Amino acid sequence: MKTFDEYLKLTEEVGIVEQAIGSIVYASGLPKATLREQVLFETGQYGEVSALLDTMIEILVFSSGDVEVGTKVARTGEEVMVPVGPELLGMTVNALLVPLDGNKEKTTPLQYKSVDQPAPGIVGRRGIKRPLATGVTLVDMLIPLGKGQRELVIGDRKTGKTSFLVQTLLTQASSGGICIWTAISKKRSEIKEMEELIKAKGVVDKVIIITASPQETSGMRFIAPYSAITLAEYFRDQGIDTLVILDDLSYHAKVCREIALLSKRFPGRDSYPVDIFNLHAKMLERAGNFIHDHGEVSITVLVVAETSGGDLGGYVQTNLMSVTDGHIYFDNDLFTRGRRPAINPFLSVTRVGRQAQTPLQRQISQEFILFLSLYEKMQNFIHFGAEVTPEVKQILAKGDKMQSLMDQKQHVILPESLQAFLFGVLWLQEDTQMSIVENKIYLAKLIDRYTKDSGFKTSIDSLVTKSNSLSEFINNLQGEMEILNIDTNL
Amino acid sequence: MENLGSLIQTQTQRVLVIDVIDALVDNIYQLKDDAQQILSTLPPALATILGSVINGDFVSLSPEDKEKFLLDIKKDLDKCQVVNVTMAFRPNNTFLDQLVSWVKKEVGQAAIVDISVDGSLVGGAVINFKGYYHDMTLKRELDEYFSSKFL
Repeated sequence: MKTFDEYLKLTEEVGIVEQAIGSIVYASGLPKATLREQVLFETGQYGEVSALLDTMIEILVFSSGDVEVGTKVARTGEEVMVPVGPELLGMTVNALLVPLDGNKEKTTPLQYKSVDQPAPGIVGRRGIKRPLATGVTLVDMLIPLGKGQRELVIGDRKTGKTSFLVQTLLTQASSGGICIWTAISKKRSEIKEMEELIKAKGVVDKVIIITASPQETSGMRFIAPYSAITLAEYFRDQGIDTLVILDDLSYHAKVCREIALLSKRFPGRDSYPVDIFNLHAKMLERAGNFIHDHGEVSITVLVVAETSGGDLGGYVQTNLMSVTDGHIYFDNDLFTRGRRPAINPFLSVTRVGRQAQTPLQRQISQEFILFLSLYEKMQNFIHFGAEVTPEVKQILAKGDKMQSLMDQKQHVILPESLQAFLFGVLWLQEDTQMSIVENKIYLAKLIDRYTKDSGFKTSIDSLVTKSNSLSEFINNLQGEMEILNIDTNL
Repeated sequence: MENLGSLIQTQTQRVLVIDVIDALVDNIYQLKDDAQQILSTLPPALATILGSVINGDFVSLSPEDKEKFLLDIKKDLDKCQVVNVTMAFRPNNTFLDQLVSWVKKEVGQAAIVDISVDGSLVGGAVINFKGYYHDMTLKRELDEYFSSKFL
């Protein structure tokens, strides 16, 4: 970036700050300023032109500190640009992708990209056909995601959304993808925890953390998700699949509301700006599955939105639901009942993820959801104190066991073939006397064996790969149970 | 009234005149000889200019009409276009007259000059008008010369 005087000489235009309200500044002058153009103040602070008014321009300031009335401002002739490149991998950066203090010794990327890029058209896109493993059994089986999908992760505070996102991030980073975690209005302590976890899991060179903490200006918090998508577009152009986590956009909407109200724009529903839907839709439209020289490459986006009291009908929440390709709902009731992850499969939706599943996965998913639905019905039925038949008892016992398959500890990642195998084992299990705790121990032993015994892992993987239907898989599994030395009982 | 804008030369003069108009408006019901007293706070040249505008029929007007008359003058002064000129030295009256007449010829009779001094410019001037910025200083010439020679 050039100095203020250099820009002044270059553009031969100057503006004077007439009014400053928080991050919003009004300046006279700069007759040829364009919308979204970056401007530089004589104090070294910078911002972007957010509106062109009759006699003044409105500037959204990114830098911290107050801008004083009378300060000179110069145009740069450029849109807001962010540095992009593999140099950022493993770094924690601010909303304009400038490395934070601890990372300054590392090389800064040489390439710059504008944060306001148009979304690619339909010609450059491909249908979503490749699965995106999250490592979470419940999601991979019942609400599968595909590479290039935009999925909303929605739920109340402290219902395990972040744990799920961490599991997904670790799964994707371990499989070679690039992950960009965008923390909007998150506490610094949370960012630090995330940094340490990523380091501990050994995937630091695959992850970039973008932070826009509440201490930063609303301009920085506003631009953070745009920078994340711009960075993902850089990796897309290099042919690398990228996962972007926007945590969370309901806070981003609040930042947009703050800016819009300070700029005296006409408020819409719940005082959000009237174009809030457009802002988010335009941004998320930049994700997807794209045609690339080497085949196809994706930008998958997991958008987080917070609800209050489990209310899915909030303005921003419903907007995001209509922008994304489905949502995963974290249910506070399930959380208090001890379910981990507390995802409600009946209220969750995946619009394009199923087309990325193999025929076997699809059949398991269908069978499983039907069974869970029956199980829920039976549970409601016994609430009336009705005398239950042996068939109902059997369904309830099997349901409890299947439920334990869904329960997964934080940071535990299960590969998709292992998930299918565990499902098959439980499906075959006849012994209904095994308690839930015993069942969990039994599953943990199988998981442990899969992780440690490479021969066992290879057999399971090939068993799952060669099966094209659920019946074939169950038959094959039944045939190989003895060979693999698996007892369906504890 | 039209003459006032063309008679005022600099931003400093405009501010002084506006202050006096505000004082006159504040004392609109007591204006008799007080007007002359208030005008006397201005530099003689400005007092003559403003006095020439508000004398004549002004004395015979009702207080409300006087107020409207003065506020109209103020409005016209507010409309004056300001040309910011930064120079390396504070100009003397002769230089200022020449500069203002050049500006009024180029921009219009209602233009006024806001002079600021920055010794580091060495010579020449930086002109800033309606957001356009023209650096015609010796400092710039020297910077460019040394940059081309040594960098």
